[in-house]
Amino acid sequence: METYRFRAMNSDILLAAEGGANHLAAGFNQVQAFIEEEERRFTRFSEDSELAKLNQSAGRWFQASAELFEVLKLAQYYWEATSGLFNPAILGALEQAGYDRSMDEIRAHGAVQVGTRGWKEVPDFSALRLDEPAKAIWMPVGMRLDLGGIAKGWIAEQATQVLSSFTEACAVNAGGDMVLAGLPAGENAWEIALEDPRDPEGTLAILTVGPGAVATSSITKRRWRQGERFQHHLIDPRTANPAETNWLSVTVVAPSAAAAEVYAKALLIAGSFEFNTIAQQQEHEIAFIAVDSQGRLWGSKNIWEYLDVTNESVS
Amino acid sequence: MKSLKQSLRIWIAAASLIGFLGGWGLLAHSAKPVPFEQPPAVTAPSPLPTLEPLPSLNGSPVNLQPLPPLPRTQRSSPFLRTMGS
Repeated sequence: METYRFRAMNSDILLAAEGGANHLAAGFNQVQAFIEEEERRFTRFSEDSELAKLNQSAGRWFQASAELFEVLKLAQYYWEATSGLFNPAILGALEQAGYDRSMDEIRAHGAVQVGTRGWKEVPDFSALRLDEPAKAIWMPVGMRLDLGGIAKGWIAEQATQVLSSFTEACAVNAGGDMVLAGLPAGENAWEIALEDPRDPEGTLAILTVGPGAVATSSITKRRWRQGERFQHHLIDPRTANPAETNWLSVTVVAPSAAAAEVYAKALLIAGSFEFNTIAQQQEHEIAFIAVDSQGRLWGSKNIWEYLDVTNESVS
Repeated sequence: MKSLKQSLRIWIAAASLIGFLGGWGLLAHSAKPVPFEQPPAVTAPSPLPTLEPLPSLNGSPVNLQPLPPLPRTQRSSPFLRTMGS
């Protein structure tokens, strides 16, 4: 298995594929170029990105690219499917919490102290209008979007399709959004280490997953200090503040990266007290595993299909 | 002066006598005390009704279950890691 790593979308990107290094080099380069191009389209940290231009056009129709339009269609679908727990219109609340620059910049320079005025509630995402034939988007004044997670999942899925044209089995891991195509040679599943959210070096379990997607949302990665408070990037649309959840991370196995990403986020916001609302509503075949602050694992019953619990020891 | 002292003595004596006789009469006509009765023997308390168990804070247990600690695999860790964002 050949691997290729680089950094994009403020995340570590890992590409893996079966095949010869020379043959795959072109594929890896092509995928990197694709990811970097899509990052420029979806980033909220550049005023030149298409997303930034959409955010500046609230109150009038915006002519979108096919890519942005497709991701917004997905966002609209999952907003409804999660009863609004997934809501991309949280950008104002996210900035209010201090996430107004890239995480790399915040880590280097710290978060800006923001006043308490302003974002009391997240805009109603149902007000977004999509004109499919014209690929046009309309948002009410005051609505601004952050497509970070769902766009990253969508990009990982498209990148896997690009890489698949060079190999029969490949994986793209875009900072926790993972898409798997085919199977590694001689194996009947991909092995994935479930990272301990309290210790990035630690592994809590091994997941064995076939072709599909795996996404993890965590409140321990994108975390910063704002004044006296520790903040994280997972905004609860109901409170317009970083979610107060009793889980540290949720990993979802799903057929598509967008579904895995969205449900990981929604389940993490819901926590153990409200997870059922989300789990019962979803139409997709998903399985999830959550880690609480004591490192205990919680999961849907079908997560057992993906857990490697053998005692086999190979050093 | 002497007659004043004499009349004061008579008045005090008469008031004392009237007070004594009045109090005696009052007690004589008051309700008689009830004879002391042995209190009923203390019996074992009857059991309190059983309370219904509170609903689980974890919601329905149908779909969520804490997983037992998984064996730490000694294999080399897979190159794919969940990471998380």
